[in-house]
Amino acid sequence: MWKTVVRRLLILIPQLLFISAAVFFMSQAMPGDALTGVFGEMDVDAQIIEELREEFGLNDPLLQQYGRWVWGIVTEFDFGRTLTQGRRPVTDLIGERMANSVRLAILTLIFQYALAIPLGVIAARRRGTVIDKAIVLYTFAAMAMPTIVLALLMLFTFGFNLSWFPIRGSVDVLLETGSFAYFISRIHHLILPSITAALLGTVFIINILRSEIIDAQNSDYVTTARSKGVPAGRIYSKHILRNSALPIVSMLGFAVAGLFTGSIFIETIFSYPGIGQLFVTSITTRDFPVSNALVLMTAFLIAMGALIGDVLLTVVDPRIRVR
Amino acid sequence: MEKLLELKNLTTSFRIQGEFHAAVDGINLHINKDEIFAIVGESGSGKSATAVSIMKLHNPLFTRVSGEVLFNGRDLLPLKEAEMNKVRGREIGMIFQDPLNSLNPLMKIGAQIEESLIHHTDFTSAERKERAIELLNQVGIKDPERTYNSYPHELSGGMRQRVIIAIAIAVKPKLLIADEPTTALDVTIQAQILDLIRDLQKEIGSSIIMITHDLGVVAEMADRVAVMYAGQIVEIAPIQELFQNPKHPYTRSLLAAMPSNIVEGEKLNAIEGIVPPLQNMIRQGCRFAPRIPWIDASEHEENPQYHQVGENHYVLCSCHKTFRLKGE
Repeated sequence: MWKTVVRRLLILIPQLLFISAAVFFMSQAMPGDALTGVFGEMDVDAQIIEELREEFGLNDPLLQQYGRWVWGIVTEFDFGRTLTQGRRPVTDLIGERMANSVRLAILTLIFQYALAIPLGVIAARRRGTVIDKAIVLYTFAAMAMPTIVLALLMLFTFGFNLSWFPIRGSVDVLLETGSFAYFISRIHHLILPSITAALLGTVFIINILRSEIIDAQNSDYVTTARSKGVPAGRIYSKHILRNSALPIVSMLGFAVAGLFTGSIFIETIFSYPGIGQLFVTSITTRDFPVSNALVLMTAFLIAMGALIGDVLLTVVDPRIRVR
Repeated sequence: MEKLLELKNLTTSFRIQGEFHAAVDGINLHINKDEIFAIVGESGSGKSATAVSIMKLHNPLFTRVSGEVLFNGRDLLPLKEAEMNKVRGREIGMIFQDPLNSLNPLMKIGAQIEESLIHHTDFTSAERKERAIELLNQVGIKDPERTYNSYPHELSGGMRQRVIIAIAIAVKPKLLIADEPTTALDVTIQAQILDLIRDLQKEIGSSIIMITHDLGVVAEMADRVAVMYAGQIVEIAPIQELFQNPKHPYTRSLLAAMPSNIVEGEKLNAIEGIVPPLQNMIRQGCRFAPRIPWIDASEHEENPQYHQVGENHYVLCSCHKTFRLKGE
């Protein structure tokens, strides 16, 4: 077991190295750089821009720039400095946004599972009834619905027309940091984006759970349990649900990775200052140190998520426990 | 002889594309106390559907069962789930075909045996564990303590089938239904499992319904046999009578198809055609007629009846009188 984990972590090193090269050179292939983004149409002396390029090291050969970047990460965990937001270290910038994204993701996950588990179980237990058909219809509708459409609808209806929820930001800045009202304000800002994300994201869990439960209902071991005289309630709790949860457990690892990577669409539309929004801004302003660091981080987290999912699965399923 | 179970006009229909088709079509039979009763037939003959109907394990959304299932004189069909759960496991135990999939992969063997005891006895948890280990011992598992704490995937197919038998006999039911208990096992293990079932039957004094397509198993185990074809019983007889004096064309074809009845080097005798699929099954006349086309239509009855041809020996349709196997 631990051997497998260590092996998987070692494989990660060449993988990340490859991704870092790919992302670095691909981002350089984009037209323009951070300085064209900042000054754009403004009437700034070309001499000054050229001096800044020289100062930031943007005129050095690409390989040298790449080497400097990787060396900084490996030796000092230094991902460089942002080119557009006051020359602050990239790690600081990401750290600031990460807390916001994690808050949003945790609430989204809670809503997702709070919806998926009852709906999946009800649909499967009442297969073929009106309730089941309604739930299946919802999953199809949600799958067909683009995130931006639902997000705009929610924002317009509950934020703008009804004014139940704030339409932008993560907290009311006028409140005193750390006070109870500040905490409530955070939650208040989180509800609309997290419900929107959950309404769409939950359908995969519902579908998997429903089909897994239906499979399990017809499985031989459930027939065996019924032939023992085990009542239906216990058959669900002891036999069906645990077996049906296996694929969801393996998906949980990715959900954990998703906690940190943020959601590009949701954060952008709800103007929520998280990682996803930072990513979009860093690309549009050609702030390569930030966008490259985020891609690398996402790659690392997804690999870790897969690993966590596999480890969790060995806890639940005795068949894949390695001695 | 006292009757333990009696099936009266039992009909089990499955829903296929919105319509119900009878897989078991009005069968009548009884099982005596302490008897081993075999039901033989090809795939699709309705033998397993009969077994599952007795236990009411079918999904009610897709199945209709009518007639009567009298167990000790009480009809099981009208019983509610809660009452039926007191019959399942306690009065009637069931042994399944596929030991590889019939145990919950995530639950330890001990816990799966104890589930029966939880619902049908007042044992404390210590007593349940003791009984579970005793049962594992009884079904011939060498290291019962260790098996108690094992998961199904850690056991071989034969061991798992022994565990399933232990589950079925946990509360000493009066009737055991064994649905092709040896089909999924190696030949060497098959004999061991059959011996075990026979020994246990004597030990706990229960009746057995043995469902199989293997006439060798029937010859070895059963007291009486019913031969099923296309949802009907075509012949029912005591074991020796059936093997010495088979009447129905289907029974005779089955016996002729047994590899042991064929001289080395000769071609095996197969029965022509297949059991018709449920939705295309002809419901009138002799249902076996399409598979013996060399027999003239006038030999069959329009509305086949049972004819007594010996002591406790009945056969469906008059076509048995003039039937000759092909080449005879």
